[in-house]
Amino acid sequence: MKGISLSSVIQVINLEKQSCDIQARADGQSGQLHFRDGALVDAVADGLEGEDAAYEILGWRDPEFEVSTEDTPRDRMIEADLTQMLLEIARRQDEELEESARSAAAQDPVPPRLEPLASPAGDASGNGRGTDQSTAETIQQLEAAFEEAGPESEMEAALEPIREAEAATAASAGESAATAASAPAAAAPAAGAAPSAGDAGPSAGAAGAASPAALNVAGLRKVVQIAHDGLGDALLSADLFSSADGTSYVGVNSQPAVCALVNQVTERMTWAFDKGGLPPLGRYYMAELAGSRMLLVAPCGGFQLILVVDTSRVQLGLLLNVVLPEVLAALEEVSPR
Amino acid sequence: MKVFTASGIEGSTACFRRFLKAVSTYQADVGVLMGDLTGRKVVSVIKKGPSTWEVPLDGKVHEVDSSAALTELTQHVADRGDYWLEQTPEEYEHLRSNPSVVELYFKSLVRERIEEWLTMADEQLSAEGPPVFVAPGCGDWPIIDELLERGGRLLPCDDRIVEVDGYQLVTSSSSGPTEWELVREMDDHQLHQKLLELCSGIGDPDFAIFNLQSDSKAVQRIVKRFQPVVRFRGSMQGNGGGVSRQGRTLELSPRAPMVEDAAPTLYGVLVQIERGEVKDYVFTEA
Repeated sequence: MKGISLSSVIQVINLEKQSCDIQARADGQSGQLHFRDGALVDAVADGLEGEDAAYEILGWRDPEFEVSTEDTPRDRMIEADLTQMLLEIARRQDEELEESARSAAAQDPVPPRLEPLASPAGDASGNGRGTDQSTAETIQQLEAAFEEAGPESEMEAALEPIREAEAATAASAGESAATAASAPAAAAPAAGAAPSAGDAGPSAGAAGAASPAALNVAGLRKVVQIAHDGLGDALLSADLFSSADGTSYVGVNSQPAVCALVNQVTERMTWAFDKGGLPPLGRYYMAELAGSRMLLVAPCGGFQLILVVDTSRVQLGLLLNVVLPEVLAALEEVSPR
Repeated sequence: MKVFTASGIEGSTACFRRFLKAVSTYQADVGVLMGDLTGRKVVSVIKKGPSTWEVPLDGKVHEVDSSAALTELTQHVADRGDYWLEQTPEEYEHLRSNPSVVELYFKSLVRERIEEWLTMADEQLSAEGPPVFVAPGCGDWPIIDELLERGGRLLPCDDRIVEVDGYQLVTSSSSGPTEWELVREMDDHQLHQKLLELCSGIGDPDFAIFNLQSDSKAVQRIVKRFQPVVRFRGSMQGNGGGVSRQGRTLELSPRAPMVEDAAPTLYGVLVQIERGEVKDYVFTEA
């Protein structure tokens, strides 16, 4: 039986005070739930009985099941309230989802919080993500620059290392390729930002549409700067990330895991629109979040821009009609569609 | 104030989607969706092989040979207001001889559809937008009431008075006796008493809007007594909407949605009320 959920059936049994048995199966396991006058009175599942068996069965995802309305008298072995049990199951499942999301985020090849950019001439490897000793040194230098710069704001702080990297790139233009190749290596996990320095990092496949070698440093900076100038304190975070691998290149209060996950959302949405016969995704999409937050995602060329905005601090009209068009125009300059 | 109302979408997801959109498209100050909200049948999707299904529908058996085609067909089923259930041939035969289990599944599917709509409303209606109310119809099983009462962006309004922009919306899904023996029927005396009690909270009838679908004697007596500025009645079958007057009360019935059509159509009515007077109204289709 497909197209109907066990929990819906159970809720109707409960609401209508029905008496019946349910035989459920999932992943090679089987069990029975027994209802009397809408109450769950007993359950049996693979060596478990009563409440333990009920929690086991109710926790199965998408079980197959059959309902029998033949009234087979059973003693009451479960005293817990069914609604409370279903809520508890939902809570456990939410926790599992959160845990798996955390695990997924932890396993993602997370980029550094601030991403200095590759020297086009120096990216010998082509993927711009070396992990040698000079990489670590460069990271330290950038972090030091970050600390010493004393920027006026988080935004300024975020942009400062990029400026440094840009300047360093220009200064080292005459140096050997081997030396210059260390600049993009700073894209490896920065101190305190990556879950595991031992991660392999993004695969060579990262050398896709958003290869750091192809980046326009000033343009990237400008995109985020425009967002910051227009939104001020209402801009809670911003990330410009590569659609090729979900890694962030420029960020304010950067959220690398969000980049990786949103990248998947955009990909699925694009697929769903295509399969559903809908027009393709336009210039951006938005999600209203709890607590007066809004997530705005603008895919453009090989990049996507994520803005998280506090909507209590900015008028939507200003965001959508003034700031966003300017940000999108700048983004399209950096990464044409 | 502009009020947009529609009723009787009978399980049609397409009509529900259009209703949500229509409230903002028509720039209404308030939207009201009245029942019946639930559909009338479950379509069996019988799995014949790994990627093949048979679907008895409209007197024909449709052969479906891909998951994509099945998704398209089940979406069509939902859009026209029906429900679907995938079964093996054995399950199909089992259900044919167990009507009580079929009813249990039917009700479960009805609740799932309503939950799906509530989620859709939460996603599509803005907190800053006009309030949008919903109430069941007299043919809707009470098992959906608890879902509707949960609130969210779609606000419950059955059996109560809600205040919007200085107007009072008075709504009840109860019905007097009908030939169909509807689940929310009661005898006229009971209904009259219930509505009297409900209407006791009305301030100025010039600023009262009734959502009373039933055409029972009790409802007529209540309308005659309180004389609200406008009363929305249930959907009418046939062409065009219905308009009538009872004293100063303008009574409006949008046409019943054509949910059985290949492209379901939502019919509604948009009414402009100013200072306790109906200034204009238009029957809509979307």
